[in-house]
Amino acid sequence: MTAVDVSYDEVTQTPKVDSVGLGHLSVETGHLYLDDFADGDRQISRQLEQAAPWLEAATKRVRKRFGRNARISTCFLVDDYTPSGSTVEQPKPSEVVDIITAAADQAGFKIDYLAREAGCAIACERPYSGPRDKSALADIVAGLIVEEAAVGANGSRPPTAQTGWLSNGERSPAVSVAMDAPDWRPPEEFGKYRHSVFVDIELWSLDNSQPHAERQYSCSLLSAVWQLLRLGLLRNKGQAVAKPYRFAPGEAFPDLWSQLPSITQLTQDAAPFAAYQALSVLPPYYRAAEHAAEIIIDHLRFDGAVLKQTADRARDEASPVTLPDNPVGRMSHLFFDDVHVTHND
Amino acid sequence: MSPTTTDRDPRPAVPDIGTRPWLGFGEVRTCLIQNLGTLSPSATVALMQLTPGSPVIKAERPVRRVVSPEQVTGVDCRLQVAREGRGRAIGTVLSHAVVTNGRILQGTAHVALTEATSKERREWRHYLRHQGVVEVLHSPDPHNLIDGYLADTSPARGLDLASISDRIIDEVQQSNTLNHTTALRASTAVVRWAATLAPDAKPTVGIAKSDVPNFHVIRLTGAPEDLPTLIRFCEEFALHEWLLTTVQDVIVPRAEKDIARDRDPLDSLLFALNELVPLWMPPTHLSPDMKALWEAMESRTHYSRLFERQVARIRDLRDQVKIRPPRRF
Repeated sequence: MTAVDVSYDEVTQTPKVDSVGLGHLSVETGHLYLDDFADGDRQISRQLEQAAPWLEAATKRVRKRFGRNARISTCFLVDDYTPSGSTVEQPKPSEVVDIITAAADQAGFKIDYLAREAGCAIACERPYSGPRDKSALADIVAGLIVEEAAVGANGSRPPTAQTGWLSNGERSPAVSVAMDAPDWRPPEEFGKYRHSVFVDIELWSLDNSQPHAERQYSCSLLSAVWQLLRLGLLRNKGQAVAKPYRFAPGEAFPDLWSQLPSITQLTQDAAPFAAYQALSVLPPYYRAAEHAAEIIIDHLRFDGAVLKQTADRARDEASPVTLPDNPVGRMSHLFFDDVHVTHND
Repeated sequence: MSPTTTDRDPRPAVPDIGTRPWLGFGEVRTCLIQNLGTLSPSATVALMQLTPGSPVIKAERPVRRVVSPEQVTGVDCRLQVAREGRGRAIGTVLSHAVVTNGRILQGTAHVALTEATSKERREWRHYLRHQGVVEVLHSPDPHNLIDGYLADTSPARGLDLASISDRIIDEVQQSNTLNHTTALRASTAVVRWAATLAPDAKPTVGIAKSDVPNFHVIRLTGAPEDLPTLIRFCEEFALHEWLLTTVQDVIVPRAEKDIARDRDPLDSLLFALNELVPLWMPPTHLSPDMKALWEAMESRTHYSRLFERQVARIRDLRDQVKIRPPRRF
């Protein structure tokens, strides 16, 4: 008898990784709390008006690079995660969608996608999502953090990220009595250039008064989730998550924000939500959280298959795009100022 | 490696980088899961979900084997070097847990060592791109590194894969889904291994039983792309070694003692026959290389024959008890 080659595989041994459609540019045109809609369109109009010229400039640049058919999408993030003072007076999703659409029209552009921040903590794929359509994205991202090793770390100590904090350096040793602490040593940034910029980021907090308190994720961590969604880099066991949902004509919006999908597509024929490049045009007070989000992303271990898939897709474009190895290199920010001009008629 | 492997390792332990690994280090700990009953397949998968959102790997045949996602630990430490030389390792160590048939738990830590790509430590994301790799500075001699690692004490002075593999066991055992009792008191066995990796090198194995109880040291060679096979070989060796030791040093002597004292040994004999004996399944089906490695190991150690002899002894004892039941229960 001759030798026979037999192969035996079980599908669960080789996880598959979904691929995600990607545009050239995703522009975040603003970010507001639900309470900010209390006085109608005043706040959003101001944000979108400020964002408009930068959106135009970014669009021009991308079209110049990738041609008239460059895929550009715009999005807007509403914070429904931070506990708000009065849930009763919260505007309904349909009301906010109307306000946003009208304000964008006024500013001279369209908003393709509306996202909600609680949908970054737990992704909901469709309206009224049940447990099957949900993915705990904040838990997933927190689980991908690999703390930078301090000099001397040989694996004998457990990582401190379990405490809910992530830093970009070596913390100052704990000093019990600060007043008479002659041995105070400063914290030190890893890989600093002469001087340190030491950042310590709170990833989540726990309400210790409750026995089984859930993590309350910080704005920094949720921003990291949001940026990773926009870069198309998140998966739940290989599956794409928080895919944009488009309400059919006549399909009503749910009344509660928690019943809304994570990402709602507002315009027909929109370019893909995720993109090779993500630009955020934001008010200045988001600067710290966005910086923290970048540091978090720099400490994540990505699935090599997802990174490769993204890089391959970019390279196979009609006008090939070369992506940097590091996902943070695909993000950019513009923080507008607080200067207002009063027109004298 | 032969192209006709029958088991694909989904996570390439050999990263796609310019410098190829020239050494591989690891440590495997094997013990019983602290749960009275056998864990169901779904409970095992839930238990192995150590990283939310990352896939748990499972195979049903020939025995059910469920593997957790790899955990990543950052390190930047001096290496334990025998004789002369020094080395500093910067990068990440991988570790995962394996549950076999809902009964046996293994915690395994492993790392590939490569030449440093820079004279200084680089930015962290560089090391995160090559998970499971440490870059070694000051070019120590590989033989001195292997001897230094294999002979390192506890607590470790160099890379502490012992603590990392221990921690993953603890993390699993502390799960509140387990009832924290076992049908049998068996100890944790440790296998520490080191592999020399060179292109075109044929896989070889050398096993040494240490004078420390339940501690084995394995030296291996192979090509860099053989590393996943070598890691799996060490895990399989550790599992089978644990089975043999547990049956030979715990089950049989205890039953003999029980019979001598007229106590009923049937529970632990039946536990061995029903729960442990079916797990003896040499991994020769995985690939021709694994088959060659395992058969070469068997030809020196006769492990399967030793195990069969112990199984026969257990059946003997069981039959004795049936014929002449003990007086005291």
